Order: sequence, then C-alpha cells, then structure tokens
Amino acid sequence: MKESINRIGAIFLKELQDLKSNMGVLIMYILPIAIVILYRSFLEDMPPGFILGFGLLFIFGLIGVYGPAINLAEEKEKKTLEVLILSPAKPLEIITGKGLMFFVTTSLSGLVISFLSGVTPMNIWLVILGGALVLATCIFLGMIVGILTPNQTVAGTVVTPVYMVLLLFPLLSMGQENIIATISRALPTRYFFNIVLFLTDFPEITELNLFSHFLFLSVSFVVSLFILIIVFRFRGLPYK
Amino acid sequence: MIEVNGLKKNYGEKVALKGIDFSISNGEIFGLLGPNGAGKTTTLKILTGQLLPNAGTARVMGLEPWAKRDLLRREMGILPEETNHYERLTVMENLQIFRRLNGVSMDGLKEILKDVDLEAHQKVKAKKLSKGLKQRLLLARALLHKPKVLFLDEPTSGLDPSSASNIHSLLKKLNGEGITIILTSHNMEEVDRLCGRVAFLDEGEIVARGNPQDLKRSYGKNKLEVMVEENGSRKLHVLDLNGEESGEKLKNWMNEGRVLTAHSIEPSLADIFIQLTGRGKNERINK
Repeated sequence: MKESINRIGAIFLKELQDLKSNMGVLIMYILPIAIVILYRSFLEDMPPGFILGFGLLFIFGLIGVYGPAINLAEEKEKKTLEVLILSPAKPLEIITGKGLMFFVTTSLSGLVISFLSGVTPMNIWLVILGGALVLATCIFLGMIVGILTPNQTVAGTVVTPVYMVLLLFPLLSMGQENIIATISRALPTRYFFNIVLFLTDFPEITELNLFSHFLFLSVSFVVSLFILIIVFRFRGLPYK
Repeated sequence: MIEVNGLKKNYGEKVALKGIDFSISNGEIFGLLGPNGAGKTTTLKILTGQLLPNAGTARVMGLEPWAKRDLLRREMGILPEETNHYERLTVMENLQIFRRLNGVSMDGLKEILKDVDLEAHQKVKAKKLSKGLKQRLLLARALLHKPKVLFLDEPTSGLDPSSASNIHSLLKKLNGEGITIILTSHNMEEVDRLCGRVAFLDEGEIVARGNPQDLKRSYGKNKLEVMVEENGSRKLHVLDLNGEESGEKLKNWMNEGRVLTAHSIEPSLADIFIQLTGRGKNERINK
C-alpha cells in the first residue's frame, strides 16, 4: 500500500513538473482567471455570483475535461506512456496520479477565481462540495476520452464539443425553455451553476432544491466513474 | 537466464515469429540480428512481458514474462527503439520520476548519472540534448534500478560513430559488472564488436546462430584481393581462396612477377547474413 501511494505520488509530482513547462496547459489555467478579472473590471453590472459560477465552470470544464484527455493522448503519441507501463507503476496508479494532479491544481485555481469574483457564497462548503463533484466528473470524462483516443489531435477534436456543451449549455439555457434547456437538464454543470447562483443571492434564483441538485451531481459523479472503470477494465491503459 | 522454445506470434494474418528457440546464459551479450520486420522487436516485447505469444514458451530468470511482468520489471532494464523521454523535463527530472517509481535512493541516481557521463547535463531539458546524449538518458533510465538483465532495441540507431562507440564502451562495462544484455540490431558491425553469441532472424525464423567468429568460419568464404599489373596498368582481382582456379592464377601472377599487392578479405557478419537470406545488401543492411 505504501509503495503504491509512493508511486501515485511520483506520477503526481511528474505531472506537476511537466505542467510548469507546458505553456499550452498553463494557458488553460490562466485563461479563466483572466476572464474573471476582465468581467470584474469591465462588466460592473454583472452579478458577482454569475462571475463566480461562470469562472468555476470555465476552469473545471477546461482543465477537468481537456487536461487529462490531452495529457493521456500526448503520452500515447510520444510513447512515454509505454515507459510508465514498463515501470513498476500500475495503470491504476498512473491514472490516479494524473487525475489527482488535475484535481488539486484546478481546485486551487478555483479558489483563486472565488477570491477574484468578489463574492463569498452562503454555506461555502456546499460550493466546495458541489465543485469537487463536478470537477471529478469532468476529470473522469476527460480520462475516458484520453483512454479511447489515439493522439492529441483526435482527443482535442472529441473533447471540444464535450467541453462546449458542459460550459455553454447551462449559461444559454438560463430562463429558456428550448432544446438547449432540455439537454442542459442532463448536465452536472447546470446543477452546479444553479447552486452557485442560489448561494450568492442571484436575483433570478430565489428558490432551489439543494438536495435534488446535489443528488444529481452525486449521480453524475458515480455514473462517470462507473463508465471510466468499464472503459479502463475493457481497454486498460493502451499505450500504442 | 533466458529460455525461448517454439515461440510464435501473429499480428492478424501476418506471421511475426514462426516458432523460434534460443537460450541465453547469465552474463552474456546476445545479439538478435535481422532487417526491419524480421521479428527482433516482437521477440523483445514478448521477453519483456509486453506481448503475449500465440504459442511456445519464454522464460526470463525462470519466470513467464507476461504472467510475472510486474515482478520481472524490477529485474529488467529496457531501452526502447524510440527516444521516449519527457522532452519538457530536464535530465534530472526525467530520472527522478523513475527513481521514485522504482524506490531508488538519490545516491543511486547520482551513481548512474556518473556512469553514463550525464552529470554535466543534468539540468538540461531533454529536448535540447543531442541524439547521443538522449540515448544515454534512456540508458540511465533503464539502469536506474540496477537490473540483472538489459533489453536494448537498436541501442545506437541513428547515432554518429563516436556516440555509438561511447555506448558500446558503456555496454561492455555493464556486462563486465555481470549484467546480461540482449540487444537487437541491424547493424552487423555493432553486434560483431559486442556480442558473444548472435542469432540471425529472418522473416520470423532463426536462420543461424552462434559465436560471430565461428559463424564467419562456417559460412564465410575467405577471399584474397590481389592487385596485378596488366599491360602497363593496375587491375584488382578478388580470388576465392576455396576456389580451384584461384591457386593456379595466383601462382602464375607470382611467377610472372605481376603481383603488386595482396590482402586477405575476412567475411563479415553482413556478408554471412546476405548469404543466408539471399537478399540484396541495400535492401537488407542499410535499412
């Protein structure tokens, strides 16, 4: 067990070191933060709760989905995953280390966004819990794409619509009753966005069934984890 | 150390290995020779537990590589054909990953850096290293956990003669320390310099095996290159020393005082390979 934790830690540190010099991924971390700063500076009428919700969705979706998908695809493409597989690290330890790195760094970026948005939600622990569930779900989806796609180009092509739907549909469906609103009812990001808006006194959301929203987030988390396990068991961590 | 019996591997319709047998003793440097597609890399992948054979058995240190790959990987170092290091990381960072994964001490890492002569480059990003240094980095990574057996897939492919020579010296040193080395190559000179025994693979079959010197004696035809004066100019003749007419020709030239120079030509492993497989040199060797 201790050896396994050490190996997960080794993968975690490796991903962290790689992140430092990977400008493409670093921009993904900076972009949502920069947009929150711009919104706060130039769109003074925009409710801070909206900025917070948008910023968190932006970064959770962008890094949560793109990060693991591109990372796994790049390792396959450059044949570095083969070296990890040939090391004492087990495939489960490899994806756990990678997932943890994206979870921790994205959570920290989420904290920065929360600070910059200028609003402190009521029951902040509910936002943290909801955010953790959504982020983990996004990371699981990203890993599924990363496992199933052969290279970065294909991973990017597959993951872009997934990310766009997760980010934009909850925003576009606000106050609407159309196909987008119908689809967004199946998206965990919509429920998390609503939770953030409700807890930051967003004028248009005065009532919210928090239990059902958290239930949906939990179900999304379990379903995406289940699919990841199935894909992982079926495909393993293919490195060719 | 390694026992291979009747090993077969198919990729769909394509037959990569047709039932090969060989054994490698502890402390040997064993070479698998052959052109691209001969089955060398497939053999290595089976021996390192990356591929499951369709038939036959393979044992490395008494263990079945596929079933016991987790256990064996602690005892084996692998240098793949591709230079697959983390390009954005430095030499030290690249090695640190595998030091942590293998539970090796920092002292062990420093020792390896010294052995492969990469100490001066430890803070250089891998993408900025020359091809020779990249190969050293891969070798350092393969040696980090002090393996008992080293699998090298084309260890000097694409290297200049000086870098290749440095790698050869290092491999001889490692073998001197007791590490068993199995290398694949289509560079016959490299194998001739390094290996105690070789096996020629062609289209998934072993077509010859043995000590390089013995193979040269068995399969090679010794020749003599004779420069002869003819009508005021010089002409080069190559005589087959086993040929019936060669002795007579040489005797006549000697008697006539026309022989200017004479050199023996030893057969090379490349010559033997061409002879064994009957393929053209350009197609066969320069791939």
